[in-house]
Amino acid sequence: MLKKQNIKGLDFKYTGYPNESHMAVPIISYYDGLRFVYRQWELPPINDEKINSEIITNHYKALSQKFGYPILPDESYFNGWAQWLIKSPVTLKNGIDLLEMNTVNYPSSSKAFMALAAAYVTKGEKQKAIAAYKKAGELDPASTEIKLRLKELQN
Amino acid sequence: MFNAYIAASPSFWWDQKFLLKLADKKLKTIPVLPKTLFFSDGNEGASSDSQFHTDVY
Repeated sequence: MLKKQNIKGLDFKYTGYPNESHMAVPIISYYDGLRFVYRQWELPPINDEKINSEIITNHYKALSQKFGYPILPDESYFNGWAQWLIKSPVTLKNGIDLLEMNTVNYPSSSKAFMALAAAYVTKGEKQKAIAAYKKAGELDPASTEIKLRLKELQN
Repeated sequence: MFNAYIAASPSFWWDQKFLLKLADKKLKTIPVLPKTLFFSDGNEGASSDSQFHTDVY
């Protein structure tokens, strides 16, 4: 019926489990069903030299469209990846690109601006680092760490 | 109602395939249906020619 009608937009799959009874088959069906529903969720594997914010943004745009609500790249996850990338001079610019993306996706996160500022320091871009720390300070005026970092840079 | 559905061993045979007939009729009036569906059978319906799923598929 589903194939014959060729319904536009409908994404479906059938699996038979000859080893399971009617009462037991829900357990494996929920597992495989969730696997099927969310099979595009993860970012396809990509190496550290090729990763950039455009690839990530496009992936999450497609997910948002498929699932019908805005899905943002997780701040903490991509910050973690970026911290790894900025350790190597070869991938430093990729790391900074991801950290810039985090500040766009999470404009009220002082942590995102602090992480970006620290990466600019690593790259030797002092003015950009100061601007990012200032922005972080506006978002978290109580932070003594941000004030300290700004002082270090401005001296 | 939802974006995605998982139907584990659904009893589509019930009342002389009442649900399948209803779905067949309804789906003809829906041109686009952006939904995801996963459905399965256990050992009563998993043989390749079983009407448990061939009717739906």
